Amino acid sequence: MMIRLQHLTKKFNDFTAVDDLTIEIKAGEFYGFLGPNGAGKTTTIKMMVGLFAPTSGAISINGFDIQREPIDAKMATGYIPDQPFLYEKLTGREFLYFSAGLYKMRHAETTERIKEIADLFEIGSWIDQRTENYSQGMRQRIVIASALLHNPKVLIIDELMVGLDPRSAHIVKETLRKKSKDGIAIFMSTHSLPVAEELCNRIGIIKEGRLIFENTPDALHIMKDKYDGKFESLFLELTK
Amino acid sequence: MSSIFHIALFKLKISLKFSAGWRMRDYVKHTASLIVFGGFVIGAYYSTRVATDYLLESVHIGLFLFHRLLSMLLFVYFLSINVGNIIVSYATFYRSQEMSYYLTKPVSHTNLFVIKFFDNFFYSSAAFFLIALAVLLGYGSHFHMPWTFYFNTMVFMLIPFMLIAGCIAVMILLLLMRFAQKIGVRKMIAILSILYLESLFLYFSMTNPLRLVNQVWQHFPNLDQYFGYLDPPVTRYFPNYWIAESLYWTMRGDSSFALSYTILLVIATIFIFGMMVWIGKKLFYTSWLASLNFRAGGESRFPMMKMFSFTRPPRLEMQTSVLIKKEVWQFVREPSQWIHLGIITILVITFVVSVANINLRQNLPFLQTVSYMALLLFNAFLIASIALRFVFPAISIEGTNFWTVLSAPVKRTKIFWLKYLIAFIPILLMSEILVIFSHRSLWAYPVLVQSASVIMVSVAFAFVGLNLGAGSYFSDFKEKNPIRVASSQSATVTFLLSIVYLTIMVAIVFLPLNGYFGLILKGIPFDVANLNYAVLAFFIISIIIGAISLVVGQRALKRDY
Repeated sequence: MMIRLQHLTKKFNDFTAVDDLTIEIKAGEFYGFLGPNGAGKTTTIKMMVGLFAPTSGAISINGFDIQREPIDAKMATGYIPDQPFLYEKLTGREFLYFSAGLYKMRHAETTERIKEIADLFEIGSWIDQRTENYSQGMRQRIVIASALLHNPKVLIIDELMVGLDPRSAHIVKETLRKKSKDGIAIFMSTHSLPVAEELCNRIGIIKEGRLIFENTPDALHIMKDKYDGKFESLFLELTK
Repeated sequence: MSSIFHIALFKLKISLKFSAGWRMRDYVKHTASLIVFGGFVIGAYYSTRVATDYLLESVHIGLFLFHRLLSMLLFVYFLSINVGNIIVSYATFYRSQEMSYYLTKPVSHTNLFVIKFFDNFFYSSAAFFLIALAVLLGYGSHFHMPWTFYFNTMVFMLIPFMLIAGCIAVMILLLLMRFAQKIGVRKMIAILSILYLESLFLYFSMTNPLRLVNQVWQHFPNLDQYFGYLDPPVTRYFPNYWIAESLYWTMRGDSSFALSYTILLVIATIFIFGMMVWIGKKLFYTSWLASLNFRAGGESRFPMMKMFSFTRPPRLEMQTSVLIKKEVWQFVREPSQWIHLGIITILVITFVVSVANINLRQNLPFLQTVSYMALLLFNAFLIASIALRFVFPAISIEGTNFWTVLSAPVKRTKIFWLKYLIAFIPILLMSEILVIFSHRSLWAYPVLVQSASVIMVSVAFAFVGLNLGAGSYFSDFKEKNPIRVASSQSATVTFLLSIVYLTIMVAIVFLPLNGYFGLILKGIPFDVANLNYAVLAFFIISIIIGAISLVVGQRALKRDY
């Protein structure tokens, strides 16, 4: 298993944001994590990348426990947050070098990868501008590029498509699809039901911190046929 | 106009709202800031009262000379408000997201400019208001003035005086932003700094306090006359002169003269405020648009900075290298950081030059110890201020971008210790430089220089540890402006702790130093062991304070982000 969440719980004082969540994701699997606002998606993801400590339960990434062996677990992870905050005083290129350095990538390899990835995401001359001048979409492209730079084995994504234009969205989707085929485990939280349907080979729905649904798109098709054939109707019914 | 009141009302409501669910650290923060500000107010009140009593009743310098000295102090006060407002108003006008938000709304740019001016003025001058009030109380109590005096002086003199300083600051900023479009921000700031230093130099050359004292002293013992003819004509156009004159005539019981200067001050304030609004109307929005272009740019043009280029292969271990480079670029590309550093450097140089020429050798042991302690405390206080301004915000300024580092395979302890080293090395160097220069007249006493050197190493260790630790414990990742972080309530708590630490320093080293001076001045050999034990004790206490702070800070960094 590349990602394993076991009985994961996160409490903020009396409020339980994530409640006994258990999910397992294999290499090459693309997992869509859905749920209404405030369901606990971002909290789960923040625990997976080490930004929150779980109240109880365990998270293992590429076989490493994120609490006990955070460095090894993070070394295998690429993270795309919901808000693409970047160090504003750095240029896009500097940010990518910075990010690669944190993953201990060799300098020559980094230079090569930055060129490759900047071409892939069509960042162009923006790469040498300070990120404080970037649009939301350009920031998002840089964040995605930084997450893929070190060829992670696990990708954790919190809202992928925010601010991306249709062409960028297409490039990103194709890239992720390819990465998934190459054996990378992808865990993606999204509000976009069509994106989840299009990309994911397993979907989980979380509500009030609990996993209320988990199945493959094929099983999903059968279930949604019980309603009006739309995933949206099934989602609304489940999260009612 | 109604939009001004509408926005002002909401801003007032927001500022009065306390957040629900206070935690222990919130209570600590509020209590400590109350103690610090209370302490400052009481300290300012008593020192003013004592100084006024001493100068007028013991030294008998006379009302005229006293108010001329007051005028000079007011000039320095004016410049402090002025520079403070320039720095903070840059952040308020050109860097705040709130301004970007308001500019999308159907509110006139001039109204927004006025609102943000007052917002900025009250924020950056709040501490000055308190000090002004305390000093006024200390001054007025010497003359047994009624409450109406304090009210009138505050409302019709000091507030207009501060407003003039604030208005001029904003006008300078607007013009700076306007001309910076043509000649560049750095050149413009360099020119402005030179102009400020030049004006300070010119003012004190013109007023020449020493010459004035000598001229007035020639009339001893008839010092209680009016020596207005000694004033250089140009000083009569300065608002600090008007306040000094108004107070002088009030104390002499000539209310008509006093009133004329007050009216002059109020009219000048209205005129300068109007002028600022007019310039704001003409320049604010265009300069705001232009400021967006200032932010652009990539690699630095300074050749020395090339060594920190990300595109260059690293000389250190990869993670360490990129983390250091990021710290460097974050600092040099943030104007509020290096402008403040520039001002502090000027202050340090001024202090070093001034102190180097002071003869610290006194004849009485107690007086010698007190003057030496004052020197040592000033050195330590300077380091405390630098640490509070630059080290305390070090964690908070990572802000919303910190996810990049925290989600990467980097040990949080490494991030913390790198920040510590980046701050500790320059501050340690600065502490030792201060010891060398401030002890120039005491080089004949190597024991003293060695002790001061160890004391300042201890101070550097403790203050960097304390500020980094507390900065991490009270980290506020939502605040983007390092100046605001360094002037927050949490920073006040840290400052309070710094003062407690300095008190410990005095308590430990004062008596051994007094003993040292007592014997040395009489030519009797001194057993250095006593002083060494005290310095060692202080060193150990500093290590403990620094270490505890660092442990607390390091643990705090492991909290949920």
